[in-house]
Parts: sequence; structure tokens; C-alpha cells
Amino acid sequence: MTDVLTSGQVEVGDDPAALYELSLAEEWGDGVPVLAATDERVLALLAATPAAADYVVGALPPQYGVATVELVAVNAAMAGVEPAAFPHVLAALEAILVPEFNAFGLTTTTSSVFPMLIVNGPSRAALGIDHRAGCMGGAAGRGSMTIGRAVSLCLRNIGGQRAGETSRTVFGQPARFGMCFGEWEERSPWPSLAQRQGFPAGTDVVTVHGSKGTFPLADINNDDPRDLLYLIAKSVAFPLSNMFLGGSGENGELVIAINPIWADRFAAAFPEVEELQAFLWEHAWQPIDLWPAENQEILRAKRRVDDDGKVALVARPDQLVPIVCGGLGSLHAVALPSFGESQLQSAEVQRP
Amino acid sequence: MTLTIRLPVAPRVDAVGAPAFTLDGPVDGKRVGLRTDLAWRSWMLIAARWDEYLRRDGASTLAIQTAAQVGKEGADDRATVDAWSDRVDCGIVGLGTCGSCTSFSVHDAVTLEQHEKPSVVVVCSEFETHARNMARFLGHPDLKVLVLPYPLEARPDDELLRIADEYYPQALALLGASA
Amino acid sequence: MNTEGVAEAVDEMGAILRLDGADLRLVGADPATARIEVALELGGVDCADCVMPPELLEQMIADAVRKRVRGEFELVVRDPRA
Repeated sequence: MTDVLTSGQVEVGDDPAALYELSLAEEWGDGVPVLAATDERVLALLAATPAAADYVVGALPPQYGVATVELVAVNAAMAGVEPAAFPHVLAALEAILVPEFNAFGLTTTTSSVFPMLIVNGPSRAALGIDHRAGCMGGAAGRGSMTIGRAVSLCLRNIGGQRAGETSRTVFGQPARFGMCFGEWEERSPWPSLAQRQGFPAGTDVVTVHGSKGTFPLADINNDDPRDLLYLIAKSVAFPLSNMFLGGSGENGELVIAINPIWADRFAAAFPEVEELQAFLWEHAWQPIDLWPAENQEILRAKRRVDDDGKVALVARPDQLVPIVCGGLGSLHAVALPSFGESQLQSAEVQRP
Repeated sequence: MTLTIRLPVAPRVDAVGAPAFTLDGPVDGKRVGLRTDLAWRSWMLIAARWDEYLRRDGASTLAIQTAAQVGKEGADDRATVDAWSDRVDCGIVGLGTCGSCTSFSVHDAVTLEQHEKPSVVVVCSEFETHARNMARFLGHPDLKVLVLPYPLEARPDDELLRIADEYYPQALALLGASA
Repeated sequence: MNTEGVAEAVDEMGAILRLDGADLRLVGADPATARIEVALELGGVDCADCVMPPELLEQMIADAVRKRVRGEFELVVRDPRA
């Protein structure tokens, strides 16, 4: 079976420390110990997908390295992805390669933006794709910690994305190690993100979102759903948001992760998710006077200011994307602000 | 004891770079394209000054302005650049003064070269290496890059106009033209 | 969610409540939503207020569950006195 593998090989000491040192020296890694991509591990991953080893997933920017399924499997093996989760890695890359996701821009920008993976479907729990407490960090499910990491390693090793070199990112962000979490669909009073993206309920789907980071929101004072959503809307329309830099506000989505307790509260006021999005959009703006004069001039030149002097964060309500996840401690939401020039993409997980 | 492991990197393909085109003559009588981006006021000012100088030197100009990278706007912009590339004899594309805008400026300059028209991509110094990398990755390693000082955006107008005056001859030289 | 553990916790609390003539019934424990719903039954009780106060009851049920079940859960107590 090993004759189906065509990727290069190297000998390394049979010692995890030796492999780690090699990964650092060769700059294959992300600074954290990797697993050995032995033929056995790579073949086990390949057996979990219907795609052939030499099938080309695409050319990953910024260097347009050709990502074959085999090469993706090598990186996934290094990340510790289990075979049953490997199709999720491929689905994520498929979504990243959709032109409207703008991987070309994302992988090279000065922004901190990086693809965040949001997972729907019945495989979440079994694969350790965290969607409850600590889903964005801390729960440490195997799927969450390895699927995102595999995608990150692919962008680094196949796409050639390296901060300070091909990527001009000023700060980067923690998600550049890899970020993969699930929506807690069972606690969502609305259709899941995957359903809203057009997939039937019960389908394993990976959605990629070009986000600049996790933006925490908290309130301990007010239980009223409209008041809370008003505050969320004003918070996410922060003046230095990337989403105020674009020419029209037409591109990019802002994902808002709502905890299950608040979700129930919001759904009592907004049983349809479109109503909730419309309410958020109604309030996601800032007055032009908030900005200094130089910035005002640019915003006016970009026709971002309406007749009432309001600058809307986004052009349409559907660009504000609520998902339900997180623990049962209430009190918190997390916004995932967009890079702006990137559109959220989803791909179905393909299994043999 | 050793292990045999698979390498995670994609093989580097030494593709032959596409040729870079030059005017090899004066701009007089030529139609020169200028591509600005709504994001950068500084470049709009510099490009406007160069527009004047080009017309002074006998060229006609055709200016376009891009605003987006994706969505309908992004698609419309790429289509506009493609159509513009067809209609001009050469073009100057800017501005690369951030990561993605440099990438897209290079992309749009490459579109000109794909139409066999000479192009110059204008970037700020901080993004010169990035621009040259992107040109190479897009198969055009010899794309002509004009490097302006960085940062530009917050400089006063009179300073920007001095920069425009100083770098105009270089823009022509890179196009393979002369006044 | 360890649903057997939830059932044991409800049995444990039920035994305590039966000393006052009340009982506790498990309505449902759903691992997918992490919701546990129980109902206080006061059928055999002469004095409803003599049974454990609602806030204490909820806390004790939660503690009994927490001893047996890992992870977060949402406890809903259907208490006819509320």
C-alpha cells in the first residue's frame, strides 16, 4: 500500500524529541511537538476519505503549493488528527479554497485574520469537537485541537504562509495555531449555521470564517433580550473594526457566538433568527461624529455614511451571523469579527 | 533506531516566469491606465498628479478605481481591471501598502501583463518583498515594482505631491517609456 | 452525560423527600442538550411548606447529580410550589 504514497521521506531518530527538533530546524511545525507522519499513520488517514491520495484539493496561497490529499494527510498526521476526523480537514480546505473566501488576501494581509472552523453535524461529540464549555479554548477535545491545527499546518507547509515573510500579519492571533469548534445545535432555538448555509439537518459540515480574533462580550446586569442584543450590536460596531474599512460594508460576516442560556432568552423575543439579525443590524452602527475628522472624510468618500449620519457596520442583516455554543454559565457572548474582504464558506464532510 | 517519516511540504516547482513587457518608446500617443483603490487617499492624490503629467507628456489616460476583493463588488472590480487592461497600452497599478492590497495590486498588474501590456505595480517600501514574492508566486517574477516611501497615508498633501513629482520619472522608466 | 448517574442522584434525593411524604421523579436527562428535568411530587404531603424549600432542594439535587456526572448540566426542577 505504501507505493501509493509519493511524498518525500526523511529518516529521523525514533524519539519524540528528535522529531520535534527536526520540525523546528526545518520549520515544518508551529513550535509545538508534532507526531511522526509515518506511512502507517498517513495511510490510516487516507483510508478515511473517498478521495484518492493524489487528488488535488487545490493550490494553497500564498505560494500556491499544490495540496494533494496525501500531503494534507501528512500534515494531519503531524497534528494528531484521528482518521475519522480527517474528512473534516479536507472539508475545511475545500471551503478555504473557494475564491470568495479570499485565501489569497487572508494569507498575506497585515491583519491578524485566520480561518476559524465552525463545525456542525452529528460527528461533533464523537470526534471531540468542542461545542460546550470552553469550546474556543480550554475544553481540549481531540478534534478541536487537531483539526484546526492540521489546517494551520497545511497553510504553513503547503501554502507557505509564514508570519514576517509571506504573511505580513502584524500580530497574528492564537487561532493561527488552529481554531476549530462546534455549534451546540441541540441547544440552538434556531436553525443551525449549516442549515442556514443550505445543508440538511444532520449533515457534517465545516464552515470557515475569516476572523480577526475572539472579541469577548459580557453582561451581569440585564436579562432583557432586547437590551442585551442592543449592547451586543453597539459593542461589535467598534470604531476600529475592519468592517468599517471596506468600500461598502457589503462583504464579510460577523459571527456572534451566543451561550445557550442567552439563546433561550433571545429566542423568546425573536423566535425567527432573521428577526434577531434584523434587530442587531438596526443597532450595529455608530454616529459619524465618533470618528476624528480625517477618518470622517474617508468614511464619507467611501459612502459609508447615511443621510442621518450613521455608519452601519454591515450592509445587510444576514452579515450578522449568530451561532449557539459555549457553556451554561450564561453572562457571555463572543464576537468573531471579520477581516471584511472575505465571505464565510461551508463544505460538507465527505466520507467513504 | 530511526523512523521514516513523510515530508509535509509541497515540492517547489521552478516554473518559467512569464515575460515582462515594456513600452520601448515615449508615452506620447499612448493610452496609459491608472488603477487606484478607494482605500488609499495618498495614492489617489499621487495618481492624480501623474495623470496630469502623463497628459502633459502627450499620453491619454484611462483611470479606474477598485474597492473590493470579494463579493459582487470584487468580481465587478476584477472584470473592470480585465476590460481596462484590454483598452490601455500600459498601466500603473497601486497601491500596495498593506498585505492584501499589495497582493491584489500585484494581481491586477499581472492581469495587464497577461494582456501583454507593460505594467508597473506601485507599493510602499514595507511591502516590497511581499510584492516581489506575490509576483513570483503568480508566475511573473519580473513584474516591475515601483517602491514609494512608507508610510504614506497620513502625510500632508504637499508632501505627497513632492513624492509624486520625485517618482514620476521612475514610473516612466519602469514602463520602458520616456517623457 | 452519565444518565445512570442522574437516575441514581434522583433516587437518592427521592429517598430523602419520601421521609416528608414527597417524592422526586426524573422527567428526562438529555445528553445532547445537557438538560436534566425533575419534578417534585407532593401528592402524599400534608404540609407542602414543610418539605425542603425550593432553593435548597434545587441545590441538593444539583450536588447529588454533580457527584456522579462530569461536565456542566442545566437542572430544571418542576416544583408545584413555585
